[in-house]
Amino acid sequence: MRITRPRYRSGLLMETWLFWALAVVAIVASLLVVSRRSARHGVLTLVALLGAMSGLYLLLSAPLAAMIQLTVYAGALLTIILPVTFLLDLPDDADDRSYVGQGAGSRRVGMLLVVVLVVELAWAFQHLRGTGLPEGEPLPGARPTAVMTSLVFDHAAGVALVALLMLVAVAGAMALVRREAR
Amino acid sequence: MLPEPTLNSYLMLSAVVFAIGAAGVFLRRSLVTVLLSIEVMLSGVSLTFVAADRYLARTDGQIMTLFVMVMAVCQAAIGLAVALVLIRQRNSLNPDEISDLRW
Repeated sequence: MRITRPRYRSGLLMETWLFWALAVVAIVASLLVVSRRSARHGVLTLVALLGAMSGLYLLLSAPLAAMIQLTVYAGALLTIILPVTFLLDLPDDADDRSYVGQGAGSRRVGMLLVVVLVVELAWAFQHLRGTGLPEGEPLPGARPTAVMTSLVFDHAAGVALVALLMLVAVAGAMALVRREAR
Repeated sequence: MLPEPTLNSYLMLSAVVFAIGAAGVFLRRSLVTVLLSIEVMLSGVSLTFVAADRYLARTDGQIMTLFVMVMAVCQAAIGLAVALVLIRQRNSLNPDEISDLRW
């Protein structure tokens, strides 16, 4: 299904520029998260990645997901996980040569699988080029109130399961740390 | 002139982000960095959900994205607790050294 959109409108041009700028930021931030040796720098660049992702969500007319991504997800990283990395004084990812040989075969297989994944995706998307998105107006069902209503009434079981997961995660984290502290 | 972003642009971007995170999981030797790489992978998955949601004019993808965010925060909390225990017990975060459950 190809949806034709008017070209060269100022709004569309801005959307195009924003998408490519945010895509570059997201890819560079992802590379930095993976490549930085310091966990603190990794957390900070992950927050940058989440910011770029929330901008992309806004371009996709998903303001609620963008807001929650920034306030809850990136906020949790900044206010909880980043201070923990400072308090623990986590060591940097040491470039210890004694570990280079360990698991090298499985790492090579893993990297080969990643390369195969990228090649397959590139091949697949070449054959599907040009699937346009609907117009940029917020979809009636995508308004935050509609999403929240659907979340509460249509996905109540999922919400309960996620709440249970959070409870178990908090209890598990506390049990792990407290037992160790005794 | 930059090409207009389509559904495939978003899917390709999310695939690239996912692949970068997967490479980090395989290549890095610090447990915290591996956890952050998993977060990168989850971000790529979330973008796929929201793009498909927009394309199909539904809201299920956004809701699934919210679930993924909660799950990511939970795994970060548990992962940091495990990292704390490892630091106290072994003073190392190398996943290759963790073989207590090996048969």
